[in-house]
Amino acid sequence: MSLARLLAHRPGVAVMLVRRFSENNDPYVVERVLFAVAACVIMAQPSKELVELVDAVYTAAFGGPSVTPNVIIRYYASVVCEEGSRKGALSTNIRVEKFRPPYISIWPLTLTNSEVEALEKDWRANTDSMRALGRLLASTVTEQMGGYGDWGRYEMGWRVGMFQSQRRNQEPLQEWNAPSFDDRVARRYVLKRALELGLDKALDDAPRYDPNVGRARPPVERLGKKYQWIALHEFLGFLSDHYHPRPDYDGVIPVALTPQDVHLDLLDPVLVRQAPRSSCDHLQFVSPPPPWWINILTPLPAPFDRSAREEFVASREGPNPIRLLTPRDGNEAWMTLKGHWEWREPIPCYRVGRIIFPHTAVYLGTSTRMQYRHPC
Amino acid sequence: MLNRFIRRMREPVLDGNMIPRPPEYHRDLAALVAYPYAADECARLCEHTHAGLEGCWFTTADYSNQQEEHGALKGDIPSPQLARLLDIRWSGESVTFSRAEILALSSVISNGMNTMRVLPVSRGYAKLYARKICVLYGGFTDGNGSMAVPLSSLLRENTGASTRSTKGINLSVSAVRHGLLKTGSLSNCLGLELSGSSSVQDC
Repeated sequence: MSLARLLAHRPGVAVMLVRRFSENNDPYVVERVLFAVAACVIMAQPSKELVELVDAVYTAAFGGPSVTPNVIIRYYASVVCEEGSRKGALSTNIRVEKFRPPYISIWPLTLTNSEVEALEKDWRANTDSMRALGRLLASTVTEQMGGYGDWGRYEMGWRVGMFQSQRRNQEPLQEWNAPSFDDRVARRYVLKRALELGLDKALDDAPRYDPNVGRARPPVERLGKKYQWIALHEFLGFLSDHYHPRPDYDGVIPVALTPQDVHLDLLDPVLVRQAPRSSCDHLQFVSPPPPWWINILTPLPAPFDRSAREEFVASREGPNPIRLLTPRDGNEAWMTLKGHWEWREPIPCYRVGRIIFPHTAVYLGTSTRMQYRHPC
Repeated sequence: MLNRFIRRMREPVLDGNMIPRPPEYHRDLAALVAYPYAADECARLCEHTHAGLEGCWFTTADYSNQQEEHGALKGDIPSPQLARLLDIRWSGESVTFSRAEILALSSVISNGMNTMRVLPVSRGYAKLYARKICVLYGGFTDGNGSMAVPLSSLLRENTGASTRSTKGINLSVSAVRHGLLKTGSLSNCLGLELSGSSSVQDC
């Protein structure tokens, strides 16, 4: 967040950071740099530096034949490109379809079952000197293995389970209870990647105990857990590129799952913008005038005298809602897209007062296709 | 059989306030940057109208950035279908949407991160178009709920932090200029269906 604020209105500096860190071998660093760059792009005005910055990010993340699998990196990089598109800051060599899903990646190699067994054998033989390996193995145990490690089941397992076992080049399974992707494969990738990233099996790698955090993700995690998350972010990208998501209860299969769909923690680069500080010494609190429709969209009959109120309150019918849908501001006609109204009888005419709360929702569609379909 | 049973039991879903749930788009603000292009799921939800009308879609969706307190932002946004139809995108402020070319112009004119984009939008409006089809959809929120109004109304009424209640009636409304659907080729290719409902309850 601090880096993002430092980069505000300095796209030229951000370009240098992207070029310096985009090839960094710690994806966590790349994630954070791209987050700061995304915030910078959102705050920047159109300029040559902005075009250069968007181009640098596009080249680093989407310019190659395959896209980096890390879903967090992809997300922040796509925000940069989308914001560049919105501000007219895309250079001519950028292809919009390349920074929007679906992406292309090469399915990764994972450890084999025998390799995993060898790791477990190593650990059993040296439990005291291979604590980090032990924690890695225990933490990543999945539900489909018949047991669970907290992370393997409650963080990785259900996210991987949002994908089905059919590849994208196969017919997807349409049933809501279609079998999900085998989370043991995900575990084998996580084990391989955590060791590749440099986890020292001999480390103690003990979690920092925080009684206030409980099972939630602690602010400072053990090193092995950090590598597990990085590996999961990558594996979710691979899954998204190569496997269909599971259908919902209606049998509808989402086109793609975003990082938000799989409930990953994301920082919002838009929120980096700071609210302006007031420097006014003489504040006056004056109620602003009400919107123009406040007196127009009254669902009550007019004039609303005593007899009209009595008749209105005694009626079992509500007011005709159609009059609420096309208000006029005196000059032009408007169309209500959505509305909520609530009226409480100020002085009850009878012993029991009345509340009226009409709601409107407007649908749009082509008249040729429109036909009533009963939900059942 | 089970699927039919589940569908039957799921609809309609009425919350405690008797309001059927609107389509939702609960994402961080950065997701609005790519809206409506990366909102396929929201578009699918918007096609599922309460009236069960095949081929129809909601014109608004319920937005929340899932933050709390100071960083929270909630409001109505145009559905992906409406945003595509009107070629409007997020303005970068609040839950305000306007035309893409107007946005580009406002970015050039505005001089600083805190400049309200509605002002340049107004200039661009006068500069670019004779017809009133430019500024279509804007919005803001307060603690009592959400509403959306045209950006021109925001300018005119200066209601950046207004209250939206009277003694007897509380209401919110989202609107687009009716004239839009009367101009251009849209009226030729679209039929317009309005759906409303009212509820009466003794207390």
